[in-house]
Amino acid sequence: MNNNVVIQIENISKIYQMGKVKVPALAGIDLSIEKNTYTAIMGPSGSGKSTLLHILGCLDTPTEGVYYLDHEKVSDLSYNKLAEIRNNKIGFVFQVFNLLPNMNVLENVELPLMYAGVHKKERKQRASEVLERVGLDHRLKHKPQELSGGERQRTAIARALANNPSIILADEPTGNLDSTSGGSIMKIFSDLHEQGHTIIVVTHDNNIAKMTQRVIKLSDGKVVNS
Amino acid sequence: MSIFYNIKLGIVDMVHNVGRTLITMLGVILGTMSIIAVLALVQGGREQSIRWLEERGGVLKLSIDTKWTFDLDERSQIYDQRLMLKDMRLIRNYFPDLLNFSPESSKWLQMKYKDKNYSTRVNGVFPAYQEADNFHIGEGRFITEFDIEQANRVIAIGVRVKDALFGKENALGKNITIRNSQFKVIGIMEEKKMEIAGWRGHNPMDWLNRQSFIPLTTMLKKLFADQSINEINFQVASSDMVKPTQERLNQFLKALRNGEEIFEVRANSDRLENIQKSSNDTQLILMIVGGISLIVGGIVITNISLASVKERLREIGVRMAVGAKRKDILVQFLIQTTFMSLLGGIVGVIMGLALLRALEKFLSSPTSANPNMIIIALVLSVGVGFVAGFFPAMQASRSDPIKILRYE
Repeated sequence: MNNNVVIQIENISKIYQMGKVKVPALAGIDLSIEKNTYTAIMGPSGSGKSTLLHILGCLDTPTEGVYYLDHEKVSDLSYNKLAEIRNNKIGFVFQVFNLLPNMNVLENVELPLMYAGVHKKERKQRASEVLERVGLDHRLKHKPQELSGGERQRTAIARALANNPSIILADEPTGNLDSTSGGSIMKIFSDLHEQGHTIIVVTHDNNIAKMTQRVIKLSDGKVVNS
Repeated sequence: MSIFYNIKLGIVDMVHNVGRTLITMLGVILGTMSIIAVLALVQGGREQSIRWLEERGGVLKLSIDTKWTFDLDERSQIYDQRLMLKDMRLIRNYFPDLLNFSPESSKWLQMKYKDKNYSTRVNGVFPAYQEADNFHIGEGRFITEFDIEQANRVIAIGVRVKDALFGKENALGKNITIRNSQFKVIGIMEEKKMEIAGWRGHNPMDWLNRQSFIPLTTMLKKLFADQSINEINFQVASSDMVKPTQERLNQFLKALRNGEEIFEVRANSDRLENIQKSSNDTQLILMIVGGISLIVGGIVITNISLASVKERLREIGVRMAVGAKRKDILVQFLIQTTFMSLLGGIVGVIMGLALLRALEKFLSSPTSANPNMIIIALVLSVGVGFVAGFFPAMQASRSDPIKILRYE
């Protein structure tokens, strides 16, 4: 295995049980992604791109197949081990932001550091730093509902970055944003790529795909090109 | 993940759902409140009874009296057989270690002074009466051994008797007529008083203030000739002597009457036991009632927490997505329910204490709250919160983050 490969999946499939019906979402996918690359996953609705991203982000586990993350086999790890990986190796950005409404921006960004056991003072320090990186240092005490969509997504990116993970996964990060805010969000991802992060973005948007180095097209749970 | 962080989360959640929080806590509040009230009421009643006993000679006091029975035939037979002066002397001789040995022979008699009449209970007693009944002379002197020997016609009167016969006039040295005999007033008893909540300023000991005392020998030799004694009061030196003395005396009394049980020896400490037993029973029953409301409070907590877990699934999913372990979620919810329940417990304790003050003030019920009760109530409320919160917290920690986050 190439030493530069951070993500390696072999023959991954995922079948959802919907009542009595089995719905295949992924049907045997092989894929490897190298360090410090910027990848887009595209495909029509229901092609399995979100499912793939969830499995890559250790939020979901494959029905079959093997997943190596940083050369460690993660496809059969326990829930708690996966929680650790989600905490310190992966930053996940959702389309709907998924910020906690009762907490302010700073507290939302502190969340992964909290679960990593980082002490209060350092936590505040590091969370403020990443918020500065996404240009939100003037909004620390605001609640999510007081922010614009773009600001919310930047908060979510700051949260994904808080524990300084090598891999950032984003599921249609501009899907709920207007084009201006969407553009500034994509600019952040490009910057992060330049700073050395490995980035995978699920998107419908060809303009976004153009900014990436590699586009993986999915259809019916299979890779069409790569 | 510190406890304080989780408590802070709990507070934030509670503030966001004030109405729901209050409803959730209500059961615990009422439960703790009733437990505090019950414990303090029962304790108050118990302390009062003990104080009453203390006023009546304390736990070391025993008395020999005609046996009490509900059987009327038996009672009339027994009442024909009185304890006699010679029995008393035998007891005195065979039991020299009885303290404050105080036989009493009492009669309801009419007293006269000038144009005033007063009917009252006159007790023929020994000097030891003062100690045996914890009722002392206030003014002048009490009956002495000399009075007993000489069977003097002297009398110590209660303050109400003095008021009735003499008013403001000085009573000491004056003569009172009883059954055509002249009795010289040698002393006036202290005023016996006891504060009891619930009696609205009424003195439950006032009946003693209406009594009078003459030498036993005078009663038995000069006023009447029947030689019978109503009861003998005495004390023992220590509490471990109560039972053996009681048993030996009962045997002795039986032997005096050819094996028939005519008399019995009663101990104040038995009454104390009865008081404590009955107050323990009451306490148990009321505690069960309070406990049931706490359990109901717990069920409410479980119920509402389950609903709250459903409502907060997205939060749970997000926390899990950024690295929360199952344990973290479990602890978060468990601390929140426990804290909420503790808070309910604290409110309940405060309301319980307020309720007690109201009961004391408006119903004059005796109450006695102590820190132990508060600790018991708080520990119970924490326990209820913990147990009630466990199932919802388990549910929360078992959630599958992807199922929550996939549908948006």
